[in-house]
Amino acid sequence: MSLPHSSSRTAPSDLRALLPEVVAEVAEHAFFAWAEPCEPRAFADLVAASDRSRATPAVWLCARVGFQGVVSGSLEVLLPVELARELGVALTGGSASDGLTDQELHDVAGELANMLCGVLLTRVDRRQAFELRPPQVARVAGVREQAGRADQDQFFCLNDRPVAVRFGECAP
Amino acid sequence: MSAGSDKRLNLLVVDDSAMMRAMIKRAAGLSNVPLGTVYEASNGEEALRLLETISIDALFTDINMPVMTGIELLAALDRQDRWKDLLRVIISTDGSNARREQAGQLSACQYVEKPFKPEAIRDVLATLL
Repeated sequence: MSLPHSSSRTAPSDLRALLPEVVAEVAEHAFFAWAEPCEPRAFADLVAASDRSRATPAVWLCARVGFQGVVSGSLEVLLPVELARELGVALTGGSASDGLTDQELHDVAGELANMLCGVLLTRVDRRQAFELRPPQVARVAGVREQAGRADQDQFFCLNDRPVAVRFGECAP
Repeated sequence: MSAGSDKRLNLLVVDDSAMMRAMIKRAAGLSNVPLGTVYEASNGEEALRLLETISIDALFTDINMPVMTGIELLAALDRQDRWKDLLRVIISTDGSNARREQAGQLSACQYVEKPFKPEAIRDVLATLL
């Protein structure tokens, strides 16, 4: 399964501006992890490094959450499966040797997208409620070839691993 | 429940994400509050069915879930007198005032925003001691 690529209009500038602090907050509070923005080149280097350490290219997950409220659109988070595994272990307090099922890995990616979306929209306008659609999660390929190229993506280093976030169809 | 009692609290965690249910259970386990059984349901309808067969002291629910949302679940509980003293806790990423007001119109409802620190769950459970 792969998610159709959402048409990527520029997100409202306040969503994009708030994203770095929201990613850091969600990473720390939900996953006991640290995150910071990184430049496209650094993101591409992290993707390449992640592939070099493996016999086959890293598998990635894309989690998308649609939202409707003070602004409407969707948010997509792209992360390596290995990072989803680390975050899942942190989320539940398990050990690194615990195996997570594909469904649990999808849950982790979906919940990350869900939390980013919710915290962002609450920050944009705390007065107005919003609706989040259930996360859609799929495995994606070709991340290395596109790494760091998409104009609308924002890049992060989360626990030394690459994460990309993009907004789709944000209408005021 | 009085202080010093050896009663253990039974909880019901309602969330469509198994990982979030595990996270909430973990936070409850870290709270130093004596816990009995922590039941799980993946949506409001499943929770209502389960509640016919179990006894709990607190219910934690997400809002956005398929089949029956957390708000619909809490509204259904409000219609039954037997649940009037049950502690209900919404755990949601939606921290907006409008959503909080909506929750505030339901009985005995507390609100925890995601992401949360384990202390937030401890503080809620401590109100039962």
